[in-house]
Amino acid sequence: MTELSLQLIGLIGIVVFLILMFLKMHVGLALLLSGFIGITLSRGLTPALSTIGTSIYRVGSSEYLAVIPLFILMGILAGSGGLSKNAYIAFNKWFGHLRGGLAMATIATCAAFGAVCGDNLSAAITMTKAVLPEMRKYGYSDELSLGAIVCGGSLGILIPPSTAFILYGFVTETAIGALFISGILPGILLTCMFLLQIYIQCKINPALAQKAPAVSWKERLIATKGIFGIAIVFIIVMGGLLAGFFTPSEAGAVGAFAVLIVSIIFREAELKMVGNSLLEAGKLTAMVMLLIIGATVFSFFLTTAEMAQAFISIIEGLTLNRYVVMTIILFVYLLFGAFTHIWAVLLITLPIFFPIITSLGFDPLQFGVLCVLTIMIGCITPPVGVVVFALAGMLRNEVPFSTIFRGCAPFLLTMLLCVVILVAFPQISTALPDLMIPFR
Amino acid sequence: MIEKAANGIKSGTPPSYIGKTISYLDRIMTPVSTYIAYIGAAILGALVMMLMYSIVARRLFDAPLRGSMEMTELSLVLITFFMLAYDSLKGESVIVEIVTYLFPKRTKEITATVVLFIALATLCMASRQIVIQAIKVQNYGQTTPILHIPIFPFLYVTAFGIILLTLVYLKHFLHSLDMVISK
Repeated sequence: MTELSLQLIGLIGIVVFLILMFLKMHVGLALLLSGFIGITLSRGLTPALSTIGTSIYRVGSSEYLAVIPLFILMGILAGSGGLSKNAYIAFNKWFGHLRGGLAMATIATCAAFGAVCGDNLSAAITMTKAVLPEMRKYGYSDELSLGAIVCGGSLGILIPPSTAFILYGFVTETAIGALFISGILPGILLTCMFLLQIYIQCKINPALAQKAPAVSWKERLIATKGIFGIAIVFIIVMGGLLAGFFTPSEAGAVGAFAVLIVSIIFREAELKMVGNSLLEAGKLTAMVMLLIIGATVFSFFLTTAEMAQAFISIIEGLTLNRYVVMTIILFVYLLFGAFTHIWAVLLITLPIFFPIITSLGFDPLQFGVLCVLTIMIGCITPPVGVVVFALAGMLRNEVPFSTIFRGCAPFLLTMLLCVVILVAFPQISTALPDLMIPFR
Repeated sequence: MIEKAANGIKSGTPPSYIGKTISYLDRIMTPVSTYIAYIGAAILGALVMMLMYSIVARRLFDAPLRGSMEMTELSLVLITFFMLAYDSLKGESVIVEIVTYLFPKRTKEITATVVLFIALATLCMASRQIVIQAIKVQNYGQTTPILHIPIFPFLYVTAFGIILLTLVYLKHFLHSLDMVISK
């Protein structure tokens, strides 16, 4: 095959995939089929059939991917085990008396919950159940309440442990530990920016939120124990992982076990809850594994068609500034993030974008943080925003989409500002991993 | 469609051939998928306990659990492929609705039927390949390196999971087809 025909085959494969995906085929199966067609065209039918036969089992038995069910289980147990509720009570005592304080407490709880749950949708749904009635009780506008819940929920995917980082690490062969640490400072930065934004918003428009009654310092200090559960789990998981005490899979198991123990201590654990969490975690694992199986075949096809090299040559030919290329790629992430799940976006795009980004000299960790953050923005961007749709569905459409989107708007601007800061200062993403893993 | 077939029986209208097939598939698929999903969930719980035991044994008693990595890998196979059909049966899937959302209702139904047929064909092909792979591995007698556990039963589990998913898709396809032709 000539180079040109390989590229043409590559383009055919990508177009077939896009058509199937936009016609509502399961993204994993669309990737599998278009990858199969592409390999058939470039290598022949026998290698294509053989790739399908071997990839399914190889992906299904990957030790690296065993972290997925374990960290998903940890997040689900944390959501149903009362950890978020106790953290919210604690932050509420600290921030509640300020104007907009409950929204601030929501953001702080989301950030803390993000330390044990790595999925934005789960975090947003858990937080809606836990905090929306309380905010309504104190006369908070649905706009501010739901904006804080939806956007705060996104912090869960940035703050480790994050399933998005696990997938990013799998596709790009970047160490999970380093990726997890790289999300810490950006997560804290975004949390602080959200808190400041709510403060300014409520200063400008006091009608958005009322003040809850202030409580004594003693009460605040006593309530702080509600955060201990999350803090202990986070320290055990991340500490053990970074100290090399256990492998990423073991860290996931330790996390799930620790969350269960904390839930038992808080008297929130029931046998039925544990059973349902296991079933839910297994279901989500199957969902993501089908995506990964498809993405593995598609990625193999892109490699055989030398698509990444072709794109790199095109970009080199255009002599664009590397920041322009980064901006274009991040814009694509924003668009993709608006209409499909973050897992699918990462698996579809990384085989093409990652080689381009690294060839331009960007740090893989910085790009990991940026692409995850940008997809998060896409998840809450009108007109589609998958998280907003999921939340509106959960609220049985009692709140119009437009209200949720209006509430998200100030947070979206804050997140975009955060992206700009993270592009300008890569050290925010790379300093901690450099410090903690010197020879990464 | 299942509801429709049942209504047909109630009102005296005989259910269509497709309706009967869907009811039949549903009667088999739902309990099988649910029970094996429970097994998958139990394996996930067991995996957590095994990894906890592995850490404690290694770190506190300097007695690492032999083959824990292999068992983790094999557990993932069981969790994934025992859960696949249940996941799809519960309607959980990663799809993009942005374009089809704009289609007229009839076009949407026809497109969905065609796409489901393509997905079904893809899964049939995948099922065939994984069965061939399982037979190949069985003939080679391949085992895991430390515990020497034969790998082929896990390939058959993989095949079973994919075949079950194929049957779920067959049900989805027939449901969609019935909606298209009954109008």
